[in-house]
Amino acid sequence: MKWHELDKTRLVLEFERIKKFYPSFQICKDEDNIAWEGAVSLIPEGINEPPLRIRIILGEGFPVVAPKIKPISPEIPEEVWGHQWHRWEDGYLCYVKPHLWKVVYHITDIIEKAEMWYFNYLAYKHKLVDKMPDSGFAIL
Amino acid sequence: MEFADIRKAMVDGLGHPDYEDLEPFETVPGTVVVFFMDIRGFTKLSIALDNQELIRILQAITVASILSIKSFNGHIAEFTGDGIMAYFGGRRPTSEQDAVSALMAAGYMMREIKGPVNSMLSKNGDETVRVGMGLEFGNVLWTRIGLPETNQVKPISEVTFVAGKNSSHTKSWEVLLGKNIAEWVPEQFKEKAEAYKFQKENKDYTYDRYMFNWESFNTQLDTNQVWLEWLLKNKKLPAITPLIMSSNGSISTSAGNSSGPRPLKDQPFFRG
Repeated sequence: MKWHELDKTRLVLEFERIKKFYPSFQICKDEDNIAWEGAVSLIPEGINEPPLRIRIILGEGFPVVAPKIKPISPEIPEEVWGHQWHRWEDGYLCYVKPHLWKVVYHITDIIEKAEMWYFNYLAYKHKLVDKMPDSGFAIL
Repeated sequence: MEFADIRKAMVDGLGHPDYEDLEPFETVPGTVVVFFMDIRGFTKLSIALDNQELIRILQAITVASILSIKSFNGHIAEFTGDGIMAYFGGRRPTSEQDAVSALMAAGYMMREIKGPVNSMLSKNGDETVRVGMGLEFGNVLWTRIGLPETNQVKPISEVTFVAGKNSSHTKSWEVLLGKNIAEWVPEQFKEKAEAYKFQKENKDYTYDRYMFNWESFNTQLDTNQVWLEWLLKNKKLPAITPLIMSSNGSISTSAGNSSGPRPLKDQPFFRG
């Protein structure tokens, strides 16, 4: 049985929050999992880059286990992973240390964090900062 | 819940009957007294003794624990291997009666294990045991941890872990109380103990603890139970700011969410 069959209220709650705060994000499926797809577009001033399209995948263990963020487009080079990029080897974005994930966090919180990740990524990629910060926005 | 699950819950009798209907990942705020009892030095015994004897010891302690906890209206949460974990209190807010029951169970169990249980073990030629206990009261978030097919109801918060840590930090025949339940226990039945201290991310944490004078408590119980119960029930348990689940599913204290989790945006990214 899937998490959303056991906890329909949570699914409705996430759906309503996303509709309200990030209406451009659309619910979809990623293999057998429920996911939301949309773009984050917070880009450092003076940089010409497209918004990052992401898919937030809610796996079997949600909400106890943090969802994954898969970058869809533009493509982020495979070799861009590890601590300096805050990205897992399998390509998912690392937006929170797994043990710091809390069941009360919402998908909207993740989108907000993904905005932050992309901003920091672009700032680092374009050498506006010398490292991606461990928390918060990069200070330019 | 499937019939098989219900039957299993009835047979093993572990957990908490008020929360058996929790679905995996569902969370319900509540308050509870969490109780732990550990056999001291059991790893050493397990190496030194043969398995048949270990079973006889464990069975004696477990039976004594079940009977003690149940006779004071507690619920056995689980057998921890070398002890037990139990709850006092249910879905309604924890009452002074629940806390009285927890103390009485601790005192009674200490006396039973130290006396009749060890006498029986000794008479059978088995090793006698020494135990320690830990208790704490406060807010918890009840949930069903695990996967849909393999899971267990648990009260999650520092209360559970402090009670467990207290029990493991006791010497033989000691009962260590966390600061919340200790605040309510009358002075004559407690003594300040070493606080639980640790450091995390350059911040110092201190959790006050008290030793429960269970022998003096038992003496009072034997000589003047009516007075003792009156004394305890007339002293209010410390006001623990209740956890509130709002209509949007977020959980906070009624005083605001200052003690709630740090917002995700403020949590660090992965730090290697």
